[in-house]
Formats: sequence, C-alpha cells, structure tokens
Amino acid sequence: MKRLIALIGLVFILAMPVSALEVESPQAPSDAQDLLPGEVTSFGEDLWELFKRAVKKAEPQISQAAGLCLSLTAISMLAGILHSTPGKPVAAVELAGVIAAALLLLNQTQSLITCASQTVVELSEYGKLLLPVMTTALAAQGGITGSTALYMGTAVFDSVLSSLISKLLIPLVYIFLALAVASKGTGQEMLKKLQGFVKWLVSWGLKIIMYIFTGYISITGVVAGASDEAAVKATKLTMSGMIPMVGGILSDASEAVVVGAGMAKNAVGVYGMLAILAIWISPFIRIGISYLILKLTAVICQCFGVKQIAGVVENFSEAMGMLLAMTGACCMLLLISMICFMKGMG
Amino acid sequence: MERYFTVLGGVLIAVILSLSLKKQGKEFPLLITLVVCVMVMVAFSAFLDPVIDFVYLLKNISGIKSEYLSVMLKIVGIALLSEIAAMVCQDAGESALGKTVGVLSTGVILWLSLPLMNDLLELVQKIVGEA
Amino acid sequence: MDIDLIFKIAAIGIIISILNQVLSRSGREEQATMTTLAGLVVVLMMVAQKISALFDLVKTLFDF
Repeated sequence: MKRLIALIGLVFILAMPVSALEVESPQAPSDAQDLLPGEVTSFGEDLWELFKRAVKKAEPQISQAAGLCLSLTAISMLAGILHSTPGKPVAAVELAGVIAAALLLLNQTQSLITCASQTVVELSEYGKLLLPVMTTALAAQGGITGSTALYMGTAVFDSVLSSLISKLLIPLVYIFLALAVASKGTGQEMLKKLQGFVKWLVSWGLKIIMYIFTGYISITGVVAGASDEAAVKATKLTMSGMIPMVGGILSDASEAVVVGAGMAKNAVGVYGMLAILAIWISPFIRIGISYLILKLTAVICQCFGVKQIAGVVENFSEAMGMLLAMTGACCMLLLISMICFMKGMG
Repeated sequence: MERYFTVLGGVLIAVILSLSLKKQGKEFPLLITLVVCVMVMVAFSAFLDPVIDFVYLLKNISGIKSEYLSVMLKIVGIALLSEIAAMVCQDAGESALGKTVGVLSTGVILWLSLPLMNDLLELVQKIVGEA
Repeated sequence: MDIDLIFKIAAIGIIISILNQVLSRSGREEQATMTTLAGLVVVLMMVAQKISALFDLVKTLFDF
C-alpha cells in the first residue's frame, strides 16, 4: 500500500513540474471569500483584517441574541413574582415558564446548530480541496513519504471527525437540550444525570479524536519541534473542553496560529490557513456571542429567584459551548496539518 | 410608599380585631381576614402595575411573541389568586378546601400553558424532521 | 386601603355578639341565631363587593 502511494506521489511530481509558488490554492466557499483580504500580504495583518470583518458581519446576531435575553428576562420576572409563596401552583407556574423559555431559546438555537454543522461540512470539504494541493507542493520539494503520510492522516481523521460530529454529536446536542428542558421542567434528578452524561460523551468523543490525531502526527515523525508544539496546544484546547474556557480556547488558538505564522513563508500555505480560519471564524463569533449572552441571561434570571428557568438558559449556553468545541476541533485539525505541511516545506 | 405603611397598619389592626372577635365563633374573624387579604392584594396590584408595564416594554424591544407573555401573565395572576384563597381556607381550618383550590389552580395553569406546549411540540417535530 | 371598612366590620361583629348575648340570655335563642346570620350576610355583601373589585383589577392587570 505504501509503495502504491509513493508511486502516485511520483506520478504527481512528474506530471506537474511545479514550484511551490505556482500551485494555486483552491477557492474558499463564498461566505468565507468575503472575509478574505484581496492579497496575501503578511500573515499577522491578514489575520487581524479577517477578524475585524467577521466581527462586523456578526452584528445582527448581537441584536438578535440581546432580544432573546430581554424576553427571557421578562418571563423570569413574571415567574419570579410568585416565588415567595410556596405551594402547588408555583410548580406549575415554573413548568410553564420553563416551556416558554425553551420555546424562545429553541428557535434561535436551532439555527445556530445548523450553522455549526454546516461549518463542519464546509471545513471538511475545503480540506478535501486543499490537502492534495499541499501534498503536491510538499512532495515537489522532496518530502514524498512525509507528505503522503500527512495527507492520509489528515484525510482520515478529518472525515472521521466530521462524520462523528454530524451523525452522532449534533443529535447528542439535541438530546442534551431536550433532557435539559425536561429535567428543569419536572425537576427529576435522573434526567439531570442523563444530561450530564450526554455532555461528557460529547466532550470525550472530541478529545479522543484530537488525541489520536496529534499522536499520529508525532508518531509518523513527519515534522518535529513546532508541530509538536502545535499538537500540544490542540490537545490542551480540546482538553480544556467547553465551557468556561472559551477564553482559553481563544488564547490557545491564537498561539497555535501564531506558531503557524512563523512558518508562513509560503503563499499557498498562508492562503490556505486564512481560508480555513475564514470559514471557521464567522460561525465561531455568532455562536460565541450567543453563548456569552445566554450565560449573562442565566445570571439575570437567577436574580429573580427562578432557578428552573435560569438552569434551562444555562444549559442552552452549555450546548453553545459544545458547538464551539466541535467547530474548533475541526478547524484545529486542519490548521495543524497545514502547519505541518508548511514546516515540512521549510 | 405611604400606601405601604397604611396597608401594613391596616393588617396589624385587622389581626387584633380578628383576635378579639374570635370568641363569638370563627365567622367574623375570617371575614375580617378575607377583607384585609383582598385589600392587600389590591395594593399589591397597584405596586405591580409599573412592573408589568416594564415587562411589556421588554416585550416590545425584544419582539417576543405576545401570546407567550400573555399566557405567562395569566398564569401568574391565577396562581396569586388561588394562593390567597387556599391560605384563607387553611386559616379557617378547612385545609381540604384549601388544597383542593390548589389542585384546581394547577389544572387551570396547565390548561393555560397548553398552547405553549403545543408550540414546543411542533418545533421539536420540525427539528426532528429536518435532522 | 379602606381602614374604615375593617372597623365597620369589626363594629358590626361586636354589635352582633352583644345582641347575641342579650337575646340568648333573655331566652330567645332563635332570634339570636337570626341576628348573627343577618350580620354575617351584611358583612358578606360588603366583602363580596371588595372581592369583585379585586377580580376586576386582576383581570385588567394580568390581561385576561
């Protein structure tokens, strides 16, 4: 099998006399295309441009999320009026409040979940386009076995990760939300435990794949030094998991990307990395805004004393965190392999 | 604010009067309690008015569907009234009546939240259909 | 907050109980019971007015 692949690599080299600069990197999908700068200048500056444009694009999301926050506050204010009186009707009021809150939240959450799964698909598709290009480029510079090993590893793990996410993890997120509503509405402990289990399952699934991927990269010994650093960072990223560590995720992600910037001597690689980031960043900001605002809303609702409603809002924000982790994992996977490619190309 | 003090004073007076009338049988004290509870609730509603206006303001800003908000409002109103009724019944020693009022109000609240539950069900079906 | 109403009811209650005592002492038990009942009805009517006022208020406030 290895020989066959090496042969194919050879054919590539013979068929296309290339230097790294002549290889065109594939076009990013149209949404991401808007965010990309016209010319690839310096990696750091381009990254900043990308970020600014993505934030601007996400502005309508902010007002939507704020609207949701206010309406949830209204509901919890009403439910909170009653909170001082004990007794049977109060439980029914809380149930009604939880259902109303869930209705409001589900509408918005659903569009975000679809957005996240689309992003995963887009990243995977773009990866399929980008990887052969990078492989060719690397092989052209002589790193045949390295490039094929890297290509195979990334392709396999990327498809595994994206199919895992779309077939298993996203339905798990829905189940998590359903359990959250049910457990807060009826107050059953059992449902709460199930809910915690689902969350753990999602986090574990992501971590396992990232661990194996980074382990594979270091074992094939394709590149040393910087890739291990990036790999370590990715592992830390998924390790820190989802919720309060969004700040950690951002800082780690930026570190990993900066490591790549150090190697960005290669226009194709730089464009590829920017494109990946462009695909990822806009959904990330949308979901991130929702996550933050929902967390804030949970705190506000808590002030009115209705624990059930605040709990439901909190759970929805956790689900947002899960979405962030999923898209982040996909993005990191592709970025790491880009970094490895570029390091190999020197 | 004056209102609050008047109400508080009124409640205390009522307690004393009700105690002194207790010897003649429980009806009069109970009537006094009932009247005072009603009046306190009226004062409570007066204080609540601006709060509910604020909630409507939130609704206008945020664009939440007004059905949800009105359902929640009705539910809160019903729960308040039934709480008072149940407490007065218990005071009279008729705890059976009191609890039954509670059960009735739970039923009414659930009935009121039916449209909410229907909407939720539809939304879930839509999601599952797409997934 | 009509504190007067409370006092009125309390006053009616005291009057009724005094009348009760007087009538039962002088042997007219049925009349005693009837006055008590009459007093109860009067007070109930006053209270009912207030209760209906409360229900109207709740209806407008809570959007029924």
